[in-house]
Amino acid sequence: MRRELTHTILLHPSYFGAQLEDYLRQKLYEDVEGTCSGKHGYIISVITISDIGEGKIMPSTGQAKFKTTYTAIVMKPFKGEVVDGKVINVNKMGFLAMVGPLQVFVSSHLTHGDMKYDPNASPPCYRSNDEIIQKDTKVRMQIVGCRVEANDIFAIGTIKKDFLGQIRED
Amino acid sequence: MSDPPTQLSLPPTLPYPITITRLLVAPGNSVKRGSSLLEYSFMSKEQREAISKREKEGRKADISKGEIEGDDGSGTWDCLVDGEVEGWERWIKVGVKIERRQSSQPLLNVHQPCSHPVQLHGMCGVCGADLTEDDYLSIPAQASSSSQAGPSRGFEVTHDSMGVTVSKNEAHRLDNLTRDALLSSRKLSLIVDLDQTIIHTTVDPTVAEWMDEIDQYNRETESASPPQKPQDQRSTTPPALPPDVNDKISTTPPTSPHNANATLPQLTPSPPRERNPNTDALKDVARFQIADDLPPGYIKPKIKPVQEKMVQMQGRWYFTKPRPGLQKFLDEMSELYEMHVYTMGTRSYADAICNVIDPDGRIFAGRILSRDESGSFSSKNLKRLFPTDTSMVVVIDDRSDVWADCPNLVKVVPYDFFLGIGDINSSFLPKNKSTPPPSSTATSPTAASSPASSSDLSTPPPATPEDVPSVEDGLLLKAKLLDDLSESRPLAKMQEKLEHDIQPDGEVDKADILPIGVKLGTDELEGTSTGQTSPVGEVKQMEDVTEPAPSPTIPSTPPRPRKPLLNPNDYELLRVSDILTEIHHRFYRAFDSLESWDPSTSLPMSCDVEFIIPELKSKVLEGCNLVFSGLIPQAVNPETTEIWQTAETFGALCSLSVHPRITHCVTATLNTEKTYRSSRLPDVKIVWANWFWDSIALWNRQDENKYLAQKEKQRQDPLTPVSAEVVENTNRNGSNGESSLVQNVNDIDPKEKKDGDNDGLDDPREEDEEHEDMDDDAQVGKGWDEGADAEWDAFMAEDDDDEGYGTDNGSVRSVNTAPSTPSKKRVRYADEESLPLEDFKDPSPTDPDDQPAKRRKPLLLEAATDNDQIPAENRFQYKDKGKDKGQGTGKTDDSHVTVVTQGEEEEKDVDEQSVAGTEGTEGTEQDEFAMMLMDSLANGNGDGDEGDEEE
Repeated sequence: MRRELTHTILLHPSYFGAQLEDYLRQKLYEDVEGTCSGKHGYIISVITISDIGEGKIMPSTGQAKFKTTYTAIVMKPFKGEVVDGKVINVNKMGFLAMVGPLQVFVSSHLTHGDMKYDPNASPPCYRSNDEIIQKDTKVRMQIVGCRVEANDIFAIGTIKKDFLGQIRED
Repeated sequence: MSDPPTQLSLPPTLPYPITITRLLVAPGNSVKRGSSLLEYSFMSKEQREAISKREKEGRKADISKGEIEGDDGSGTWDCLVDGEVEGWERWIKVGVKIERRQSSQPLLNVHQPCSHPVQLHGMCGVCGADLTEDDYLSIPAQASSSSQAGPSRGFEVTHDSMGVTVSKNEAHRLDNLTRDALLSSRKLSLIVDLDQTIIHTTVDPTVAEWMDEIDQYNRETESASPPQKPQDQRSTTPPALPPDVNDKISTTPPTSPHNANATLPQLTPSPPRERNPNTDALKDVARFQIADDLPPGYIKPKIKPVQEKMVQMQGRWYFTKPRPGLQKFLDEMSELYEMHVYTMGTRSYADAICNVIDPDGRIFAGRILSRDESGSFSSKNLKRLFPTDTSMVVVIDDRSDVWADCPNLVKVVPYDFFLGIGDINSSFLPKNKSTPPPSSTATSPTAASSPASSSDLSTPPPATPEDVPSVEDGLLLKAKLLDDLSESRPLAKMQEKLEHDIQPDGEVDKADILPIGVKLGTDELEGTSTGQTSPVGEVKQMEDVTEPAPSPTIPSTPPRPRKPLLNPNDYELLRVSDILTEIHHRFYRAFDSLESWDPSTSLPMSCDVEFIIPELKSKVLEGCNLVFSGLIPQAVNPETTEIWQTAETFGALCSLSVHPRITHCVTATLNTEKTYRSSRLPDVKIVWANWFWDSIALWNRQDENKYLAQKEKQRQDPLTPVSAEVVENTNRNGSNGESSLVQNVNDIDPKEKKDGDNDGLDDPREEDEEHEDMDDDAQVGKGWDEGADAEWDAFMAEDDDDEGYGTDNGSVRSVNTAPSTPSKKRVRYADEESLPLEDFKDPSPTDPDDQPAKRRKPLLLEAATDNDQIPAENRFQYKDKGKDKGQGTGKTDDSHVTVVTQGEEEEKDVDEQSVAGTEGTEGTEQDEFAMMLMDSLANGNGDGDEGDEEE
């Protein structure tokens, strides 16, 4: 999802010069990419910088303040959304999958009824007749709930529905 | 998912007593959080004050007179959860008065659609509901634990901190699942500590230098392999880092961060180098770097492999030595146990270590809990991993204090490979002062020499703080500590010092300092290590036994022996694995013998590690009756001290004072009253405290002969004729098969032993040999006639008979020493020579324990009257001696008389004489002379032995 966002950059006077714009661009990337805000979700990548803004020198510090406007790909999970992810951790309570930057936890209660945790397998896994979920398995989940905090998002997923669960490569 | 209905009870904050006036919900109604469930009325505070005022005036408040109005307030009880009402409890009716004490009883059953068993950061893991809403119904944090209904944080049960918590019910369900899985695979859970338990880690760059040196040497001796240093090194380390470790650990070529430039050029120009003496020890040391330690701007060397060497200078290298036999231990134990790691190190450290010891993740399989997830910086808690059921969990750790007396703990002797470093992750922990490290005779020369050598260092070994520091302090402290360690290089200093001490004739020295570890392991190991003549070969052989993949090139004996500072030998893991196997056997033996067991209930007590381990422990010192001397401060109650309780945990009986029942006098110093008294008792072994500590550390009663604390005693008090008894004792013990002199011969360089304790340890050993030498003399009978021998034997036999009576007998006898309680048993005292001892009363300022002991003992008087035949037997024996007093005197209740008359007799048994002599009566000069002669002979022999050792 694309979003028009703004970010305020403070630039130290030592960067003032011919390459000021490059510095600004670089700083913007560094500052915002990979962060997460409760309002917009994860900012994955800055696509375009539409306006770098006018620099204002701050009194007393000498730093220049730029209010940049940019477009970025953001990711914000919603309840009911179906996402694909990769399992990073399996334990007896459930498993944790990464959907891009988002962690989705799937409790063992929300797996198919015939799915059993096998702690002795290496690596530990959830196993049913036709499925096996272990580390690095690709799974399709539906998000049951999201908890959005100021700079983090947690999501709960389920695979206890038709067409959810392990994604086979074939 | 059908959860049982949730039981709701009134919050404790209502203005009790309350009277129910109306029930607002009926079965079948659906309720929401915040909806009212019932109305109640209560009496306002003013009313209550009015009532109590009237009562003070002596009359009852009367509603009819209008003085009070009865309940004048009303309120509602609001629901905490969503769900459907199942029904009220039967006793809840309109008009019922509920007192405060009843408030915890359940009132209402509500069926919740989701009981939120799993939570992720405050969000239900099943329905996705947010459980951290804070409204007027939220229960204050401390109360939430008592209330099942409200959303509480629950337990963390996973190893990693994903932020997932579970409710108590869910934790119980999960524990049951774990238990069933374990039972079906016939395993138990084993929690393993890392630092100093199964590995030892240091950051001392000296290790890098040594390893480079060894590496260099190996290459030179091989002279076949091209100088490709890092790969070569890695191939010689059996549990090496896998080539594709995760990106946290950089496997750049290991060189010392600080001194790489300094050491390497220095090494290369001199091809005919001698072999580093620590080669054997260092050969399986693994190195790694942790991303945490790297400076913030650090770029991973992966990106530019060419620059690796420059970049990796910045990081800190860790050097980890797996405990000998670790791989075998892990392999064997993973058959019997589900292995977990619980360490006080950081997550990345734990991961790095597990990469070293368990490269393919087969053993631990991600069951790693580190400081980052533990939730506590100073203690470890089983509940963190096993919230409800710990009956199948065994813990091995080198520190018991962090586990707070957890019954599941099997304490191991700390592994101290890199001397003077200790546990690099212990900066958060309080200083370990609980138990002194086991002495040299028990663990290894390394352990013994570490206090000695570290005390000589200009910079002391990493000092752990006195009190538990705050987290920030701890982190700073740790960083500082590691820096200090890197700079101070305790190892280099120790090695330097060690080589300083070396004498020109290296051969003898080499034999002396050869680190022969303790032989705790199996017979097989003892077999390999008993012949200590060919040091290097022997070491190699032992390495072969314990480590599956020894270094391919172990060169022959070095041209000039340099002292190996690091001791590669350690058999603790063998011992631990024996214990763990035993625990496992016991558990499943008990489990198999269960006839019917309902899997929904918890396991019976016989199948509970928490009972099995203490039972095993209590076998260690079973039958020992200890008295402590100089170990318990006077100001404290001896029964509450750690040493006392430890002793009882390990099955020993402890006594406050010396009485004939005691078997061991555990002492810190000689010349205390108790050691003096004990020396009079024939079958009491006076041992150094290290005997005790070693025995409990190793879970195996140690041979007392190595720890006897009597030599000084004899020298300082030559009039005391105890030596003959000691000889007898030694003989008897030796024949019991307990003695394992060969097994325990300790080849420690005496020079390494600088502190007093170790000196003390040397002495008993020498004395031991001395006794062996003296045996014949004693049999010949200098000052020890055959009559005395016979009597001695008889006495010993008699004593063995009632060994089992334990403390009670002893107590009774002590009681009898009080003049007011004459009884038949008195007779026995006179015979046993114990009574005179009891009556021999020093003003005992050093022994405050005596008084309370005597006060307590009368309680036990009745308990042991059933050994009346023993005095009779005794009497008979005594009479049999044919001494002119005898039965008559024996029957006299006044023991003092007996003593005195005995003292004036000649040709009598030694014990009596000793008493008499010390009491000041003119003893038999002949015997005294004999004793002195024997002593001098003994000393002569002892000196001779020492001389032999030194040559």
